[in-house]
Amino acid sequence: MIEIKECSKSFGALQAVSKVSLDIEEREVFGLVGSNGAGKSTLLRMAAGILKPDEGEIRIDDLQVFDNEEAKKQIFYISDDCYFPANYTAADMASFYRLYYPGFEHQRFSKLMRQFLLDESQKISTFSKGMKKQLMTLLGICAGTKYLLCDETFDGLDPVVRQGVKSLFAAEIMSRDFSPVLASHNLRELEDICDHVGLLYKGGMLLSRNLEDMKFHIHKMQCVFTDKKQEDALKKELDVLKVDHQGSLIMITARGTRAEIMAKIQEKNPLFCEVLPLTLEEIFISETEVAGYEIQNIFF
Amino acid sequence: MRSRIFSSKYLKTISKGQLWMPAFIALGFLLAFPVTGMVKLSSWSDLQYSALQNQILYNNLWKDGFVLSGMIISSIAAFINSVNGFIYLYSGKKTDYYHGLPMKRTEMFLERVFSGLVYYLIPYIIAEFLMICIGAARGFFSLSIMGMAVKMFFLHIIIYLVIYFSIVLVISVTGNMLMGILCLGGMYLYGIVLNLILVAYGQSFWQTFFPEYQFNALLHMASPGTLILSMVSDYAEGKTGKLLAAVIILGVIFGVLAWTAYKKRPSESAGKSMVYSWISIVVRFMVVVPGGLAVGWIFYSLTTGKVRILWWIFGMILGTVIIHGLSETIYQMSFQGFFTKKLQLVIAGALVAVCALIFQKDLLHFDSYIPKQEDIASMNLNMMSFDQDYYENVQKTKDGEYEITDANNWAEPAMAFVGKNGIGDQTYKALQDIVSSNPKGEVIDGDYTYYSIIKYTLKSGKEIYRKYWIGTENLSALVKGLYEEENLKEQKFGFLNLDQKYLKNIGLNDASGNGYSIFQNDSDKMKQLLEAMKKDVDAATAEDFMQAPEVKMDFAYQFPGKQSVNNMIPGNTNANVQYANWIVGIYPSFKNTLAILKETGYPLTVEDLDIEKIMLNYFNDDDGQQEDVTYEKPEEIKALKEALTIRYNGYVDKDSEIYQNIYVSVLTDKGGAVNTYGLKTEKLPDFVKEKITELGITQSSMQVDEPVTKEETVYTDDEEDVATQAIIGGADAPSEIYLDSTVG
Repeated sequence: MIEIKECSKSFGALQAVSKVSLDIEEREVFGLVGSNGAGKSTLLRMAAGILKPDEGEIRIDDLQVFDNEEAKKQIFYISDDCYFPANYTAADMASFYRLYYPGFEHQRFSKLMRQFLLDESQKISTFSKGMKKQLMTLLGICAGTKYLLCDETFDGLDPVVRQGVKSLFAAEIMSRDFSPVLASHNLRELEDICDHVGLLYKGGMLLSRNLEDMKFHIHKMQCVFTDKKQEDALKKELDVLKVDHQGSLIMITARGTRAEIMAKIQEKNPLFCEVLPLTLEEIFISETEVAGYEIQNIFF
Repeated sequence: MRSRIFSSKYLKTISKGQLWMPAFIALGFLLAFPVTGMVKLSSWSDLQYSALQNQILYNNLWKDGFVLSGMIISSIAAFINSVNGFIYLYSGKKTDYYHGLPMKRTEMFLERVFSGLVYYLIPYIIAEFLMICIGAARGFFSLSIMGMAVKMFFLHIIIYLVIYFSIVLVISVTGNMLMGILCLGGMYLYGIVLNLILVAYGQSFWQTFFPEYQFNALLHMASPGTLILSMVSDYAEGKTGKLLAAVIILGVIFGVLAWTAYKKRPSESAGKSMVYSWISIVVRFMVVVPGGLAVGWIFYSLTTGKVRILWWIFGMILGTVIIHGLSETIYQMSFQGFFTKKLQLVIAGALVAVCALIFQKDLLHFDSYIPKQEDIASMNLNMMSFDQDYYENVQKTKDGEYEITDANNWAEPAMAFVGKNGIGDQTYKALQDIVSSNPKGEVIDGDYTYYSIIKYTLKSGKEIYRKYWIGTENLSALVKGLYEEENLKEQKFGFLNLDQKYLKNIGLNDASGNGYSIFQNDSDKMKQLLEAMKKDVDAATAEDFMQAPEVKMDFAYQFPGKQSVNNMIPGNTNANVQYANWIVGIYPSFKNTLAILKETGYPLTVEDLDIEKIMLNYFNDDDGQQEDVTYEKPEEIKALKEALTIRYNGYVDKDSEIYQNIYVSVLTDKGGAVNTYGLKTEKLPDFVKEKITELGITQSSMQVDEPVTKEETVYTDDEEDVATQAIIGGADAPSEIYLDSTVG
């Protein structure tokens, strides 16, 4: 488990991360979201042992991470803008990382490179941005570390590759003790892969929740009522977050369990009623509003 | 457990793409050792040096030539390796990459130092081994050469590490390339530049400051570069000891500081100007304060008169503001920073003012300082400033060789004046008088004044140099003290204790100043003369040495010496000779010596001279008029002979009795006399006095009518303001300073 306790980091007058506390459990995909400058990269760099927190502490499996080789062996950090030594090929990078990560699987790396249609012997300087991201992700997976810290990793990947990477993550979680932490400014990128999401805003952790848990308490329904009064009554009974109309079709986003909401709707005898999938953004609308923030102010 | 960084597999992997470095270094060492060696061997062969000479030259190559060329390549290698290993710290992207690896900072530091050392050592060892083989193939191989090769190897490693760690330290405390270059330049040039500024100020404001020997420690020790160069120079002379230890200590300090700065360096520092803010403050003051002083001095030196003080102050203010502003601009990478940090500017300004006052008001009492008598171990004095004698110090070493120190190296320990325990009371009293009567910016005493440098060596080993203007009276007291209480007699007449077999020639300068070799091929006579002289010297008192010598004699010795690369003539095996010379006065009390010299028939006194003509040049200070008068009549010559005296040494009382406004030239039956003569004021013939009256001459040459101010002692052509000054003589002849009166 990665434990972040009251962590702060400032760069001169700029407070990049302020008293953030966070637990990242094992075998879950943790999504770290926030707008540009929210402190995601700083938090990840601290978690990777690159930056030393000004205050607080970060422990990886109960080990202090900064300048601790044993703790850092459990982490592979992929930065947003990766560096590759000049004239290195992908195979050279694999050899290089093998020196530092004893569990590095070179054969598997070669296999995955072929699967992702990347040439191991090609100089990395000739790779596109997306190819470099793929390469780093594959290196990170093959390093055999318990935690993979990815900073904007899906940025620049085409949808097919993105799906492939997500599948790889899922397979890794199934097969071994593996916990990716994905930082992104794009909520939509993370919604179909994350188990747990933390929202950073101006260096502080706004919320950190299990996605299933959040989804359990918020639902979106579309219904058709015969009478306008029924609709008004329902709005009063439910903890409604949002109501949209499309002709006679009403789409309601409300808090509560699916059973509770459905029971109240059924009481009004709707002509039609069904549950719709909720986007991560819609979930965040409700959660950030609770905290007193407008999600538009956070992301847009 | 052995660290992985020392494994060949690890080194091979991380060296991917880095092989250009050892290749480049190998090229450098091939040029430094085998190529240089072959070029030298081939040129010696062409010049037809003897086998022994070749051996000496080849040995010297391992002590000097290869050390220097290897030092240059080692320095380049240290630069390449350190920059390559640690320059990543200037890039945030690279820093994240390397610091994200599961490796402790200390291990990463060691990895980079170790890999750099491997890139350096492998080419070095190969090239050095190749050179040993080339030398062996030409017949130069011995354990001694192997020993020198090993010593040189360690010497170069030390140099490499000092330079390597100094650069790593600079990279570790700076955040970008510009600051790195500036700080590295500062580290290597700061001591030299500071030395120049201090010397400039010392020369401008301290009367007793002598630039050649002042702040030498700063020059040699405050820059790693000059320290290394001094060490290499000493190594070539076979006396590395102290400086080698200093360089090793410096290397260890740099190593520890570099490691600490690297380990504690925050990864986010890339791109910032300085990593540690406290260092930036220290560096700023280190630059701004001397900078302000330097700009002030430039204005001071460009101006004259009393207004120069105002220009000096203006320059210091201007320099402080500009250099402070520039440093802040560089720190902030923005001209908006030019006028920020005003408090630090004010503090820097105050420090500049304090430093300026230290010099201008002599707050450290530099000019009036004299060490306590009990602290002085010995003193050195450049006797050639006021004495026509010349002497050398010859010491026989344990190896049976002779080490010669000549009088030009008057500051060497071998030439020191010392009594039984430090220096005596009379000498110290004379020194105190010299210090107290030295002009303190207001007045130079009207007495006949000499300029001389004195070196005090304290019992602590510290060396202190001062230059003084010394009046005849004080000079006389000092020289007397040196004869009476110190070893001046032993120093001057040290040749009398040497083996006569090394004496090759005895010369006599008669009363006319003409020189002759005497007692050639007559070793018995030579021995007789030396024994007589020894007896006279032993019996002579300090008072005797204060008399004007009758004649001068010179003694030329030749000692066996080793073949040296400095005096080697191709094929000439007899070049191993060292020369030593003495020129000493024969004083009136040297009766035994004079008796033997009498046998030569050469005139030994003025009375003995057969004078045909005496030309007097009368000169008037007031109007600058001169007139030459020749006296040929026997009665005139007789009268003039009574007043005639030879001027040898500045400290002789007789000098003050000489009439200063007449130059004397003497023509004898053997031609023009070359000695410098004067006429005693007391015994001036009437016809000379009449001529003086006729020309309206008043003896003012040595009687300064008006005080000479400090500024006026600077040599200048401005005749309206200052006294006319003349310096006669040089390093090998008396330096006499004549000060004429100022114009009221």
